[in-house]
Amino acid sequence: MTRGGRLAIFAVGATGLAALLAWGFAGLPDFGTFDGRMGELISSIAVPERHATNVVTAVTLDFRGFDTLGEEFILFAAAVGVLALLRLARSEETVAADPDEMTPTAGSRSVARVSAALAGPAAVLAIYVILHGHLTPGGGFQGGVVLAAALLLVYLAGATIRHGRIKPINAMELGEGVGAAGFVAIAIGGLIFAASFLENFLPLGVSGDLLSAGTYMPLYIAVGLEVAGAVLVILGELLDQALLTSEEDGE
Amino acid sequence: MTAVQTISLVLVAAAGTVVVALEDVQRQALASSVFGLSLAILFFSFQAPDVALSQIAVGGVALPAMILLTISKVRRRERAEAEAPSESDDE
Repeated sequence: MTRGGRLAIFAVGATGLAALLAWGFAGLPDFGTFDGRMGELISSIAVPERHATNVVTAVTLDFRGFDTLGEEFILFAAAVGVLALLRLARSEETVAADPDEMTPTAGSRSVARVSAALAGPAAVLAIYVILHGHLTPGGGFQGGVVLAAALLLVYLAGATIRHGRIKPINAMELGEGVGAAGFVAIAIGGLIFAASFLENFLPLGVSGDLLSAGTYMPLYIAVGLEVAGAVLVILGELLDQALLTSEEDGE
Repeated sequence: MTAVQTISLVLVAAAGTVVVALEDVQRQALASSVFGLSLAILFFSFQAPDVALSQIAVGGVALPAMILLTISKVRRRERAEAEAPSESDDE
């Protein structure tokens, strides 16, 4: 196809898209108007019925808890897929790397020092975010990714000391598996101790207390483990390959 | 719409355009981290702190890190294949 022909087809498509977008935007409600009856309802019952002051958590772990279970397993499946593909690739790997290429990750002393200084605070923040998910913004997903970042900082800090295997990949896989299984176990607990799957069967406590809102905290701990494990498994597999090649070159 | 909301919308549009306009994939990965952080500010200014928190961690750190690692892996393999084409192109 000629350049002119391609441009003509693009012009037709772009004009159509622009017209549809303009039509759609013109029909949107005004900025700031809210017409969500479900939102109003959930906001008004989350604290009295579930004792969770973070309504978003009540929605993700309770009112649509089953979707969260699905989301968790999407991430789990993605991590397992990456693991399978990259391990397959590694066993076939005959590629030797350029030794100079590894210096950016391991070469900078200031990166190592800043990472070492930040790792502890990041881990504390992650634990805070996970444990306070039912009270304030945050929760297992957010805290889990921060936890993964904290462990990556440990890795970055250690990389200059030893070109090595600070990354305990088996522990990450364990964390991922235990997290995913824990969520399901707590959900099944609802079946055993209450009437239905994922039902909140633990005492609800006093709204605003750390130990309140029943199963939300254990559920978020499971989610946090799963998310941190999955992110670290994916990053760790990619890093491990980089490390393997650098170790081979060093010798 | 408050001033913070307007500024953060403009910031997101600008950062997104920069990501697309950059030629080098490595720079795009780093710029996408800035884009992720500006999106987090946007979410926060529209009163969605939960989403903003995940956006900081995922968009600002995890995703750019994965992209950078993947780029380095692909480049290493390409370079190795360019140097020794006889050994590693059975597939």
